[in-house]
Amino acid sequence: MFALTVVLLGGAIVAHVVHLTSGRRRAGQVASGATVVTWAFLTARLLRRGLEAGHWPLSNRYEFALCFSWAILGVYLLLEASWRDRRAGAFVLVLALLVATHAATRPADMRATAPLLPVLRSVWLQIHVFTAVVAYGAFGVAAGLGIMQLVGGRKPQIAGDEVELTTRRAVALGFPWLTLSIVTGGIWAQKAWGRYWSWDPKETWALVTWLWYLLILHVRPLRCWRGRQLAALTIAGFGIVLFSFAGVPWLVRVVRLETLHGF
Amino acid sequence: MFAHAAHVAELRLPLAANPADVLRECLEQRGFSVRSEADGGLIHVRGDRNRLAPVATLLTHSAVLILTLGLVLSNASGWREELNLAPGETVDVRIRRGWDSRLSAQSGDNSGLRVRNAGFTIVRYADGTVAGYDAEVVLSEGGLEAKHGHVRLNQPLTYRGVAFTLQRYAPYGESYSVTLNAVHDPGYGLVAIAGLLMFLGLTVSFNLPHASIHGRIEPKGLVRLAGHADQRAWDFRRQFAALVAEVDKRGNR
Repeated sequence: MFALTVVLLGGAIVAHVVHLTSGRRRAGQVASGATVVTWAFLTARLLRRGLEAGHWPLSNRYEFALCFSWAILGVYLLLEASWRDRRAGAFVLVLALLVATHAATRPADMRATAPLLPVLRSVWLQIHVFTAVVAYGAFGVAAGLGIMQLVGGRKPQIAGDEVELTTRRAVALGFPWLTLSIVTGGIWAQKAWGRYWSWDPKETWALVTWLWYLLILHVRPLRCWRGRQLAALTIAGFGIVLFSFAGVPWLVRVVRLETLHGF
Repeated sequence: MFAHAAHVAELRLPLAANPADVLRECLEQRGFSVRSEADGGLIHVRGDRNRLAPVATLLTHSAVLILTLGLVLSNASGWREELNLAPGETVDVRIRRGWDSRLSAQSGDNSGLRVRNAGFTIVRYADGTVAGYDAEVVLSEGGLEAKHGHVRLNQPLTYRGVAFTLQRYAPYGESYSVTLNAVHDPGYGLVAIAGLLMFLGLTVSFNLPHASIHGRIEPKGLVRLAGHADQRAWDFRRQFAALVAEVDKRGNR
């Protein structure tokens, strides 16, 4: 599954780079086509995995990483259609590839399909994780746009007001979903353990992520936090997202913290 | 208004094309609710979309207040009691203010509730892996049975505002002892409602921003357009340009 995903993603990235550097319309069309094919392939594989396992593919970090990558591509395609601009593709797809690579490095037992753990058998799990996937996908796109803004510097063909506007739009798309993810996570925790918030490391970092993006949304009127500064904030925000997703389990293991999110 | 608006345009349409109707149609097709009025020789056409969107900001910030209230209630009036039950054993549920359940076994007011471990089952998938845990419990109050039910993971048993959740189990001879949490949290409902209201408010604020377009049609067919939109109407510049182009095209057809 991973090899073909990488090939497709790699092909799409190359086409996007050619489009970005040459400005050729044809290359842009190929790039968009390759992105759609990659997304459709991932969708089909995730559906198949879900059918094989008998549950939505949202039950461990391997499945989450695949869905995360899928969401980055999906949100990017939505924004590309709405923005009618493909310049960000090369930057965003690299992040999708990074996340897909994380999936590929998971242990074999995590990659194998398995029945749901008892604690994960809840409709609130599906909602909680799916909303997180959507939010993270939007933040991935925002970070890709931020990288584009920083790399593009003052080149008008790469950076500019439109890019900044689209970055804000991606953040604004993801933020309500992150909010819903935290809320539904709390509802799930209340039903499972009798407490909606327990300062578990994962919960704490979800709150840090939420506060960071809240900050990004609230610095909008300040001139000094526009352009490259905003780009830096969105990239740092995605760093927090990645840490919350992949870094916290590592931290829990190394420092031996107590956590309810051991799956 | 037409001099200071962020988006302005000026068109000249033949009067025979009925510019006010053309503008109205174009706005309505884009989801604007339109009203118009004549003022001497001028016709004013105003279209609004998502007019109530600013209320969503109020909703979001109200949700913060409700959330705060819920958190205060949870901490001020909530309590948790950890109950260790050997097979067949009955224990009292004691109320202790605060959340540290480890101290509560020996202290606190008696809630009048008693709980009995009536059985514990491990539910398995066809391949033998564990699918769930099921603790059968009997609640009694004043010496009478009040409720007989099951506590499963993700499915607490609730009685008179006290939710019983399953924490642990351990082998006990040929059966199992179970650890339940009795939780009374009067703030939880408010916290959940506040969270959902916040999601609703944020979604409307960010995705359905208020936008308005004001058109003034002068007696000789001069159409002046002014557009205003919330700064979260990301695509409004393009939408305004498309509207102007369409009004121009239809009016001059």
